Amino acid sequence: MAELLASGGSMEMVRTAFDNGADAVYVGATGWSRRRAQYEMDDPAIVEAQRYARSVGRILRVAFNTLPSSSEVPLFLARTDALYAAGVRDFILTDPGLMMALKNRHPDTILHASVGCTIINIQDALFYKEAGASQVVAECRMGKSTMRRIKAEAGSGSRSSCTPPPATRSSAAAR
Amino acid sequence: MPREADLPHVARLVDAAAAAGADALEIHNMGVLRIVREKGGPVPAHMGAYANVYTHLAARVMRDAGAVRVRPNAEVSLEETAILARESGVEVEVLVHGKIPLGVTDRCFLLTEPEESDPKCPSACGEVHWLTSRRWVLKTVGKGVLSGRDMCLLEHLPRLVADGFRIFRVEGYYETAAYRSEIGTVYREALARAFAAGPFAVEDRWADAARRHAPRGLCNGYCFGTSGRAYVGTVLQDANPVV
Repeated sequence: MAELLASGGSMEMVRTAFDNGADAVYVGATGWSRRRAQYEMDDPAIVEAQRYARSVGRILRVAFNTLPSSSEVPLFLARTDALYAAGVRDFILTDPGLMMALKNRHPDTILHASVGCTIINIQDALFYKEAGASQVVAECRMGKSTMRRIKAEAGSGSRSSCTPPPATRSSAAAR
Repeated sequence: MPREADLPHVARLVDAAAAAGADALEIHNMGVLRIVREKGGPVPAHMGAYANVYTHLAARVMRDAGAVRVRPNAEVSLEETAILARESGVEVEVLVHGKIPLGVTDRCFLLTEPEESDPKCPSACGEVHWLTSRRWVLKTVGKGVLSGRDMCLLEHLPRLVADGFRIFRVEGYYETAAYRSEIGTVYREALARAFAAGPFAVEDRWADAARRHAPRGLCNGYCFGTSGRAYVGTVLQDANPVV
C-alpha cells in the first residue's frame, strides 16, 4: 500500500496537506527536529495538529530526529510522554537509543528511522528494526531492489522522498 | 558506506581481518556491525566517528549489537562524554588531536567522472584540498570531509586523565607520515607526563609541533560546549591563522 506523506510547518500547512490528499503529515517538534526552526511546531500546535489528523482519519508523525546528548534524554522522554498522552503514536527518530527507549516505554508507538540514520542496505534496516523502528526513510539513491528486500526481510515500510537530501553520512556539525 | 551489492565483499573483508589477526574493526555503519555480530564477533568492533554516537542509550544499543568501544561524535562535550562513558558499559575513545571527521559520501567530490574513468583518480586524493568560505575552512579528501582546523586537547590532558578517560585518538586520516610520527610522539610524551600526576606544562617543542602541523589552526570548542572552531586554552590559543 502506498502512503502519501507531506511535511507541515504550521497548522495551516498541516490542514492544507490533509485537505489535499496527504495520508500522513510530519511535523518537527520545536528544538528537536531537522527542520528549520521557523517550521517547527510547539507542543500545543502539535496537539492541535494531532486532533485534526484524527478528525479526518489520517496520521500525524512527529519528528524528534536531531541527535541530542545524554543529559537531554529525560527531556526527550518527558516531551514524548506528553505527546503520547495527547494521542500521538508516530515518531521519527535518528538515535537508536532513543528509539529503543521510546518503544520500551510505549510499545504501541510506530517509530520511523529518519534519513539521518543513513539506511542504505538491508543490514542497516534490520539494525534499526531491532532498535524499534518499523518504518525507514530510504536514502535517496537506494535502488528498488534494496527497498523490496527491506520490505520482505525486515518487514519495514520505506519512505522515498521526492526532494532528496544529499547522500552523505554526516554529523550534526556538518549540517 | 556499503550498499546492498557491497555486503558480500564486506563479509569477506571481516573474515580476512579475522584471519589476519586484526586487533579490531573500526565500523561506521550499523549494518556492518550487524554483519560482524552475525559472524560471532570474530574481531572486536569499534564504532567510529561516522557512527554518530551521541547518547549513552545509543552506545548501549551498539554494545548490545556487539560493539566493545565507541567514539562519541566530536560535537559531544567532555562533560557529556563522561556521562556516556559512565552509563554505556563500553569503552570510550576520545579524539585528542587531528582533523575532525564531519562527513563521508560514496561519491568522490574531487572527480567529475566515475572513478573507473576519471584520470584524476587516484592522484587527486594525494593532493591537499581545502574548501573555504568566508571565515571557515574544511578539508576534503574526496569521499570525506574533515574540519580545517586540528582538534587539540594537548594542554587539557591532565583533566582527561583525572576524568577517567583512558583511550585517546590522534586522527591521522590522510595526514603525512611526519604528522603521524611527530604528533604521535608529542602525545606519547605528554600522556606519560599527565599520568605521572606531577606538574604538567606544555613543552615548547610540543607546542611547536602542534602549530607546525596545523596550517589552518587548532580548535577544541566542541569539547567545552561551544563552537567547534573555537580554541579553549591558554597555551596554544594563538595558533589560529586567519583564513
